Amino acid sequence: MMVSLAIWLPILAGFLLLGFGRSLGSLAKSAASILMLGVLGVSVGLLAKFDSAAKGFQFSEKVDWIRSLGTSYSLGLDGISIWMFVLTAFLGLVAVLVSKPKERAGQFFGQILVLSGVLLGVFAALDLVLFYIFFELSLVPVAMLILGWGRGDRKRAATRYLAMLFGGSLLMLLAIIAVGVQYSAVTRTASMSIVDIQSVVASGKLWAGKEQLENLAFWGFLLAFLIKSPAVPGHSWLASTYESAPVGATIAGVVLKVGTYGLFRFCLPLFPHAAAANASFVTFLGVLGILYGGILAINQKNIFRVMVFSTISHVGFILIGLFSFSHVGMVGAAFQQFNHGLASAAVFVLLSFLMERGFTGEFSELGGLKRTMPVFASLFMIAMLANLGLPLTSGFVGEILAMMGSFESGYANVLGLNVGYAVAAGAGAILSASYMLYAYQRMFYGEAKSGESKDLNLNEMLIGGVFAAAIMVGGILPTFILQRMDQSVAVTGSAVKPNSGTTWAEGGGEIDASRIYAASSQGEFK
Amino acid sequence: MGLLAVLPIAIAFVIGAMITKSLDPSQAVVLSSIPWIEVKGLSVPFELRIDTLSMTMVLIITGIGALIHLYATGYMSEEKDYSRFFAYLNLFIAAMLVLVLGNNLLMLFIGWEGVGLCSYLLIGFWYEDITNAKAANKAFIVNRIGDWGLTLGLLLIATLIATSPAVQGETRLFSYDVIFAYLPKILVMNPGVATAAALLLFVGACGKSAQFPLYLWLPDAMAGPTPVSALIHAATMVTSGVVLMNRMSLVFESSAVASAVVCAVGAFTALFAAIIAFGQTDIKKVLAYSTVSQLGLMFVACGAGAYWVGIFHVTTHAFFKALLFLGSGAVIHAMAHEQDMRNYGKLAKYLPITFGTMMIGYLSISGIPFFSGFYSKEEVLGSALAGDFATVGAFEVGKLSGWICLVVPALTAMYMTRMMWLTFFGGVEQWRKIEPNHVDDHDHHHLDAEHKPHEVPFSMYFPLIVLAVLSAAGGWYLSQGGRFEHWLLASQVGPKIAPPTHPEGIPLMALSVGAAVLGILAGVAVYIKGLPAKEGWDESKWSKFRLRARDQFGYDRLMVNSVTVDSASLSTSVNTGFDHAVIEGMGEGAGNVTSWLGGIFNSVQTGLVRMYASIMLIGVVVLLLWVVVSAGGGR
Repeated sequence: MMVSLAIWLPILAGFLLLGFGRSLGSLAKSAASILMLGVLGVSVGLLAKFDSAAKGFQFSEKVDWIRSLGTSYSLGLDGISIWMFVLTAFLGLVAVLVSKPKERAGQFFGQILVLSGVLLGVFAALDLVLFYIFFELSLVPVAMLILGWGRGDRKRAATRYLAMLFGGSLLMLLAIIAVGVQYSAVTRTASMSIVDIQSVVASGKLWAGKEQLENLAFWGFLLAFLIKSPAVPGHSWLASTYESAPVGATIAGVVLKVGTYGLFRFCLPLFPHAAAANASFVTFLGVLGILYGGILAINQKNIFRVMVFSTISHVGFILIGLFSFSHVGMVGAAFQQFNHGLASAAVFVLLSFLMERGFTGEFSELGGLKRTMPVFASLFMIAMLANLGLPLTSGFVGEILAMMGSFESGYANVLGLNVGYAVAAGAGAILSASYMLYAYQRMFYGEAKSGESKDLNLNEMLIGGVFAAAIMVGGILPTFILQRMDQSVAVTGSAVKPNSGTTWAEGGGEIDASRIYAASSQGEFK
Repeated sequence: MGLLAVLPIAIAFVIGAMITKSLDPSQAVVLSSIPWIEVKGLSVPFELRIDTLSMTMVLIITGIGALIHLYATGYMSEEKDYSRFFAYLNLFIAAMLVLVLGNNLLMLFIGWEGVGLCSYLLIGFWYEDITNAKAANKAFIVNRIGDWGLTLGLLLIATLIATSPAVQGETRLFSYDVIFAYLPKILVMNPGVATAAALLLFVGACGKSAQFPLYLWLPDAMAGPTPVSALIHAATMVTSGVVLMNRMSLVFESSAVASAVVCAVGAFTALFAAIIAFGQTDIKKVLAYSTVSQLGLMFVACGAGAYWVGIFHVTTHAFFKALLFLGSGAVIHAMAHEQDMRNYGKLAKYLPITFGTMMIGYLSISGIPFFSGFYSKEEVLGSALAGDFATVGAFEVGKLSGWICLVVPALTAMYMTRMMWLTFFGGVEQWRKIEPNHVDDHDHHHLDAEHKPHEVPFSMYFPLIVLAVLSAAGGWYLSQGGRFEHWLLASQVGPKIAPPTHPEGIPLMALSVGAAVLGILAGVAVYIKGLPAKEGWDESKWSKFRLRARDQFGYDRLMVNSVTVDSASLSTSVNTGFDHAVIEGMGEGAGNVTSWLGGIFNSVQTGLVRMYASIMLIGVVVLLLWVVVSAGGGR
């Protein structure tokens, strides 16, 4: 019930604000922040009760919905999704706190609340149809926020955002249908619950003799999630979104890695053969993204575009870790997915403070801020260090573990992976230092360009400080997070092994977290 | 305020000394604390290793560190950002201690990146000057190239242990005790992998320790305040590469090829940097290239298999190079922040303490007998010439490096003589011509009306005196009865036998002392009257060779141009040519298609809602189709 509460409370309140927000005036922001604080409280409560040793989903809720389709209202969290769930609630609250819309504040905060609630649904849904609905619905508020409160060519940005992401998810819809049809053909029952479907996958029956179909369905999901993540070359929506969306919308809805989460939740456990067969290709895309993003980020003319390519680079690390199928690599990917939300939200929060002071983020108008805004400069430094993966910040742990997984699997030469991928990916650290420091130089060093800008006020310091603290704690005590991910990642990793018998159902097969994908099985895909 | 910065370091030194005193050299102590990274199959705790290697470095870091901190309280006393400076400096000490004390490769990496960050922050300390920011960026980014190698090297080591059938159930893959226990046997069976691992670690060492081809960040790093140059860019951080090679000596030991590469790179760097030093007129740049050159000697020793000699030279170098840098700081302080030696001259009578102490540092670095540098340099040359460790096939790379390194002390003695004579002797007090507009922003002490330079205050000359004593007698003390050798060999993995350091049939002592004396005499002969006309302000009179040397023979320009300009143009051309044209085009196309689809439903108002509706419609149609299909087929 608590999961449902966290999802529907902001959605309902959001609709109320959309409808009656005008009469609330400036109270809208207070109301929205109190509500999101409550949602965050609920999600932290769930985290506190989370059992890190359990193999399956926790806090499960299941109500039959459309019986003929086998669709159910089915929710639950595991060690991968609980962190995204908490992060979503946190970023929703932050987005409300840092936003100061100049007009129609009630509607603005309404959209943010709906967005947060729907995204919480995305991370908790355990039914393919339910997931699809949440996934699609999450696009609408972002587009509305861009259209209503954005900057620059907002119509073009909103159109592109919707067109690319809807286009991608259409492929996923087809794949969902294929999975549903195949499930009912094999079991003679209907279910869209991924727990049910995966248990048939694990027994090896679902895709027996249907490798072609498995592969096609896998690609349907894969393409949707790669665009959403985004991976090269599906990233053009991200650039226009970062540049045009109000920063609050970016924090609440865009920095969260729904795409890579989808890979974790669906692509690997439901299509193990296809995932293994395409591991080398996806890893290649990941490395390509790391290098492509890193190189392009160096010479951008504004900080938002630097963040676009930095995101692509980070996503690359998630992909190589995840598709290494090595336990450390997959844990690294799960951690990096969490860290990316945190560290890039930190940058956007700080940028929102800058925009309050009349800057647009163009480097040509920035410079010398270290003198006029020393506190801001220090906080930005910490956020930057997390983005370039310095040890003892949260950015390091995910990156090094993902690299390690990729290196191990490449070294063992499984699944067509090669150690060359890891070697190339390692160059990402040089590139991230280059683009981050270059951006920092242009913003903070030299003579101040535009007179005196006021340093952060107490509220802003508090919000920035919370992010800085979270980044440091995530880097110094990552075990707190890793411990709660470990078992769930191990289940996912075992499930990828064909006919593993590993399922999400409690008490399922023995969990095998062997460091590297069993070398003996590589023959199957050659 | 200043005391708050100095005292913790001094206390750390006292604690370090007490631990060192009670340490049994044959017994490494591992202190384990809370886990840092812990997942199934891998655990990396916060853990410290107390052994002779780590404690030697702790004493250098805290001892020299405390002296330099004390000096800095005087040097930076008029700086408005005094507290920020000491915050960075103390953070540096902490990171450096983690680097040497950590008991696993990832903790070493914490320190490694941490000192890199502090170095970046301190080089760019005077942030309003954009050239400082550029120097800071260069330092960090070039170091990251080295870190690339280091990261891959440590992942390779961990992977080798993880995949070895001989290792069962061990999860502390990065911890030194685990590596020491298993890795030697694994490397013996995979010589090719051993070479790869050693070379990858070596790339990391090259970055941090400023070896060719990655040395080029260090001269620029002199943009930071002088105490920073003394502590970070001479005495401690830049020696991290030597510490790494000592820690992982078992990896280097198992590959003659890698050892030969270490020797060759070290010898080349030592020679190359010594030559470049002749073209420098900035006193700090001379010392910076001298540091690069001396680090090259340390690398030669490590390549020759005499890892302890590398640390021995680290130690004596910390004494005399910190002294020389702090002395140069005193000169710069007296000269209203003028750093060009062409503006100095005859300062000996105005700055007697600075002069006297720097003289000792100068004799020590030149390798004059019984000063500290003499002992360690002797061991470096001897180990390279006597051993056959870095021999690949018929190529005795180690010995060849040794002969090259015999030239380096002569050059060192000569360019140091040049520096000393231009500064303290000569015929003309050139600084009387310094004009007020030479004085830059962050300077508050001016040459007074009579242009009379002042000796530095007690807080600044006290460290100079202590370091002078160490530079004079430290080497002698440590080499008595092989004291340092036995002490450090205890930390080495495997048989505790170092390669010989006394070549047979070569009169090493005579050769090296001869080289030093020759260098000094040649220097005195040229510079006895002060600045020669062909090194003066009129650069058209400079010899071609000296001009090229000042220019690093075009290397820095080549690298910086090719990396920054080419990567910028690559970045721009990919950005406009591919990302804008192709990728954006795809996005635009997707937008157009949906808008066109949306055009079918003209009655709806905005294009966006139209598009949304059309896509939802498609979705619903597909869903309905599926209901029909599955109802027909499934049930």
